[in-house]
Formats: sequence, structure tokens, C-alpha cells
Amino acid sequence: MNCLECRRELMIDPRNETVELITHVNACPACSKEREKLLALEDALESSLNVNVPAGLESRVLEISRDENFTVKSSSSPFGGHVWQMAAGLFLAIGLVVYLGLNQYYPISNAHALEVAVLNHIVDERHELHGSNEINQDTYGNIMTAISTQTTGDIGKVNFASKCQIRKNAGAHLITSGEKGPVTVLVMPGEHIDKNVKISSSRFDGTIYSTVYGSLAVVGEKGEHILPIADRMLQYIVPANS
Amino acid sequence: MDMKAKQKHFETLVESFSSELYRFGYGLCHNSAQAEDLVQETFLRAWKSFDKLREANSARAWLYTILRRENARIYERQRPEARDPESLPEVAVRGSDTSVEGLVLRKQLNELKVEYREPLMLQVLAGFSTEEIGVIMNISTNAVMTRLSRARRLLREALQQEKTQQTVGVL
Repeated sequence: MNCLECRRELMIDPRNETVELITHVNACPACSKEREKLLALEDALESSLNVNVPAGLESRVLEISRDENFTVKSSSSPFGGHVWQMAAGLFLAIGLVVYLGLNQYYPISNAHALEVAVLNHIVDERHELHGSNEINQDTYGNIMTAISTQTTGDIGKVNFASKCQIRKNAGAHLITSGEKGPVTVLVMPGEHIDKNVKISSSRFDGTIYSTVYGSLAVVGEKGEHILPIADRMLQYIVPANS
Repeated sequence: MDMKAKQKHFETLVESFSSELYRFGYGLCHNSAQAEDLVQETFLRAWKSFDKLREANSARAWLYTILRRENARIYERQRPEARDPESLPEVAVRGSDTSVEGLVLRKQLNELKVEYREPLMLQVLAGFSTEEIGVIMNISTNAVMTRLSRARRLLREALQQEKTQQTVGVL
């Protein structure tokens, strides 16, 4: 190995310890010095990149993965054979009939399903939580109009606004700021529930409110005081024809 | 693999690789909240495609590949000014070298184009070989070597320039 090849190798990986390279470095003071400089840079780089990891990261990842489990569609079916698949299908059909029957008497199931859908939606779209641009009233006003609602007063600073789909209905996804961080507001026309539903997960706290047009979810970080925000939203987001 | 074994395997991956994925994510987006979201998104995607993971040994590189893609999908479309590390509160990187040299190095590293910064982080931080980096970045080993070499050259030049400016300032 000559000096040129050695320098080239060092620039690719200063920690390279092939016999050929080490032999050359040991015999060549100039390349040895170059290697020392590059190794020092390497150590400094490593130190620079080695930031502290937030406490509890693993448990939060595991928690959110568990929250998501119900939406995960595993490609490996526990039912291997054809007969098992038919039996499973029949079992599901009976379950569905029972569920639909029960649902007439226990509409809270619908509320629970909506709670799950709301949390799912927030988790799926959580990269939007960090938006810091103020969205002007015209922009979110157009979104509200598109879902047959309107704002009749100041709902506060909106950092993100988008039309979205929650379950089968079109809705509006707004993000505003709370005391503990971003607060998600989901306006869900057509999603009627009989009573307000509390939402609580490892990361989020909130409530789905029953409204005349459907429902409205206000969800913030754990421990967020959502009431003042919810009051504003419930007061100023109304059906378009009001 | 039954569901229980799958969950156990998945939890082991989370426990083993969350921290290093966070550091890699932080190096890409320079924001702690975004880096944590990247890690969570990476593991969610991984869980959803867990059946595609044939060899346990390749899990680590696979997770890095997912994180890179998620970063590209979520954050690289953001406006550059929103990603400027100096405009973010997390600029004072917790736990890392806070000496003047450390800050200068971090600044220069952040200014490197992502095509040079990424292979450098994958090598220095994660210890991947040039072949493995090629697989993760979907480029040839030769291209990885070229980028690594160029990244170090650019860093050294920038540091040298900074040093010269400081010397001139003192004089």
C-alpha cells in the first residue's frame, strides 16, 4: 500500500485496521500523523452525535405500539387451513350479528369505536403536531365550509388545519396550542354519540363532545387542561346553516 | 411465529435499538420531539411489516432503512427554515460535547448535505460497514465510499476555515 492508497482508505474509514493499512501506517510517520488527526475527528464526531436519549423512550414506543395493535393487520393468519378459515368466517359473522343487535341497545359501543378512531387518527397524523405556522382564518374557514360547518368567533391560534376522513365521514383536523403542547381538535359531522366520551391513553387526554352536527374531539398531551379550548371550539364551531 | 413470540421479539428490538435510532433520527432532523416521533413511527411501521422480517440478524439495518424513509416522508418536505437547527430550541444538544470545538463541529456537520451526513452518521454512530450502508441507503458500496470520503474532506475544510477565521479575529 502506498501513501495515496492509505490516505484514501483513511478518508473512507479512519478506524480501518486492515493489516495492509496498519503495516503502512507503522512504517510511514506522515500517514501515521494523518491517521491520528482523522481518529481525533472521528472521536469528536461520535461525541457530537451521541446525544442523550429522552427518559422513558422505550416504554413510550412500546405503549404506542400496543395502542396501535388493534389496527395492525398481521399477514400471518392463525388459521392455517381452509376449514379453519370457514369456521373463522362463520364465527365472525355470528359475532357481527350479535354486535349489531347489541349495538341498538348499547350505543356506547359506537362511542368507544369513535374513541378508538380518534386516537388512531391522532397517532397516524402525529407528525402534524409539530406544525408552528399560524393558519389564517380563511384557510380553516374553507375547510369548515367543505364539511358543512363554520366558525362564528375566534377559536384561537390554529397551527394546522386539514380536511380529513375519520371512519366513514369527512371531518376537519385542527391543531392549536395548549399549556402542555399541541392540542388536536377533530370536527366530526355525522358522528353522533349519545354522551360525551373521555379519552385517555398513555400519551393523550381528551374528550369527545356530542354536538348538534355530530361530535367534536379535543385531545391534548397527558394532563392538558382542555376545557378552555373545548369551550371555545364548542361555542364557535357550528353547523353551516346556523 | 405465533403472536406472543412475535410480540416478544418486537419488544426486544424496541429495547435494543430505540436509543441508537433516536440518535440517528436526531442527527437527521435536529429536533428531539421529531426524533422521538421518527422512532415511534419506525417501530409502528416495523410492527406492521414484521412478518416480512425473515432474518433476525438483518433487523437492525431494516429499522434504519425504515427510519430514513420515514424521515424523508415526514420531514424532508418541510420548509428548510423550519429545519434550521439554530432556530430550534433543541440547538443546545443535551448530553453532547458542549465545548467550542464541539459546537463548531456540530454546526459544520449539520451544514453537510444529507447525502454526505447520512452515511457518515451510519458509520460513526451506528458502526455499519460500507456494504451495509449501501444496502440501507440503496446505493452502491463505491458510492458510499465516495460520499464518506467527501463528507470527511468537507468537514475538515470547513473546520479549517473556521479555525482560520477565529485566528484572524484574534489577531
